[in-house]
Amino acid sequence: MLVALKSLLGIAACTSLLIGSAVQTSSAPALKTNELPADTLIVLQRGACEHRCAVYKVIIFADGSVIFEGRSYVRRSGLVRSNISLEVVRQLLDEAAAMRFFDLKERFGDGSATGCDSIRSDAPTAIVSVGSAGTSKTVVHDLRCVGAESERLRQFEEKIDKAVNAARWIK
Amino acid sequence: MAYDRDAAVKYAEAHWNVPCDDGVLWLSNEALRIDTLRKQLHAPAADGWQPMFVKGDGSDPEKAVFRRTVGSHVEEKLINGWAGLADCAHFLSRCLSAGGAKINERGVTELVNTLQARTDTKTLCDRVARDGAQRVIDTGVLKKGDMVGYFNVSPTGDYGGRIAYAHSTMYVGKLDTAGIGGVTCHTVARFPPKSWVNDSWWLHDGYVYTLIHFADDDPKPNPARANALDGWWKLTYSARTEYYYIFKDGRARYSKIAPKSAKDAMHAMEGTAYWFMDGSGKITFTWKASGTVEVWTPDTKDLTTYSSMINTSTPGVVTKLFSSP
Repeated sequence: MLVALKSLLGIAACTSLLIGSAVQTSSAPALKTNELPADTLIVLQRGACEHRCAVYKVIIFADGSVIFEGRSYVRRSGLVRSNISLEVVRQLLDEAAAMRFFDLKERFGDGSATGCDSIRSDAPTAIVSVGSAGTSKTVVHDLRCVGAESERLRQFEEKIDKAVNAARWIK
Repeated sequence: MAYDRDAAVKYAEAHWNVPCDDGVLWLSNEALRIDTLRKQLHAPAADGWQPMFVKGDGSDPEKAVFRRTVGSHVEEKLINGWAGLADCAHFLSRCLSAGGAKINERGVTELVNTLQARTDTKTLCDRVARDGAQRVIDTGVLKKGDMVGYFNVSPTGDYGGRIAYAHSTMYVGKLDTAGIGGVTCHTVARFPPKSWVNDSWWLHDGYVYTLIHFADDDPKPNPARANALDGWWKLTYSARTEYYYIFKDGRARYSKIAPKSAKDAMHAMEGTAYWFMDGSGKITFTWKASGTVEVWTPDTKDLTTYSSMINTSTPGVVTKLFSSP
């Protein structure tokens, strides 16, 4: 089971790399009304900081299955599998569309203050990938970046955490 | 023997980015011995391998490695990544010990407790907000070689938001006359301006701060003026009245309840402070629980009336009520 999950994580990681480099615009296939596009994938990775921030990755798939990989400063290290409802996944996709996630810059505050009103001290980097119906995007978000778009992105990242109840594996 | 600040800072400068001279590196739950690691990782000193802390990979703040340079090529063997590194209190213990204050703690809470229990230290402020701690620093009482404790109060802060001491550093003084101060520490390795992180003493948001000062080398107050301070005082400011009991040994307390005589014990004590007197007779109080800084300037030659200024902005008047019996 563990090997299978790790394999799945590997695929997801590769996918997130791929979707970071290209935006596809092909039309989505016909769907049953309660299904999401099969290529739906939402990934949130949180990196380290001096404050001992929790380092982990959350992957949400089209069928609502969730994989949490706790790396350091988390309650649950390693891989955990869970599920959320399709409605919750759909809400996250709607949130992404509403905040124009696919039009955001690919980097916020990561090595540059462009797009940031200011840079605050010590905060981790979050990498967010969202893909569905042939459209995908990855944003590298240095949370030290203070600004309106950065704040909207931060709130979206928190919604991903809340959607899977990541707190139960972190604190 | 008085604490040797220069020796403590000199030790910090020599060890800020390398393991301490006892050959131990502390993780959260265990000690790593450098000589054992050398064998395990095949990194003998004879081949040029040196243990050190360097900037971590990706967003990791730091990692511990053996490193050597061969020609123009830098080789590295990982000792430990960011996760688990926790050498700040150990490093500070070694710095303080180099200055003559023999301490051996690896936890920040234990280090704070040990320092506060010493007779040669004064806790200038205890878990106060950054502004309060900066006010105390701006008095100049905190000196290089003194300790800064970082108490996490953020639910998203260190170690999953644990409300506890999370970090410790040693103050190295203001970096310039207009500066706000710098610190040296391990995890992450700092010695301004040498480190890859070169930030202010408060490091980050989400903390309150404890400042512990070695007091043996403080200027001694004029004995006559110190004796004149001993006893009960009344402070009025902003339509408030407070009552102080000042000890000639440098301590002070306050209450909102007036004493009836010189022998009255203080009721409902609201706070404690240390006071420091300069050569002109000006007295600076640092209030422990709030970081309030209060400066008294003598108004009369008989030293029974002072002008008070609280946090550089609120004036008050102080009058002597009773001398110590």
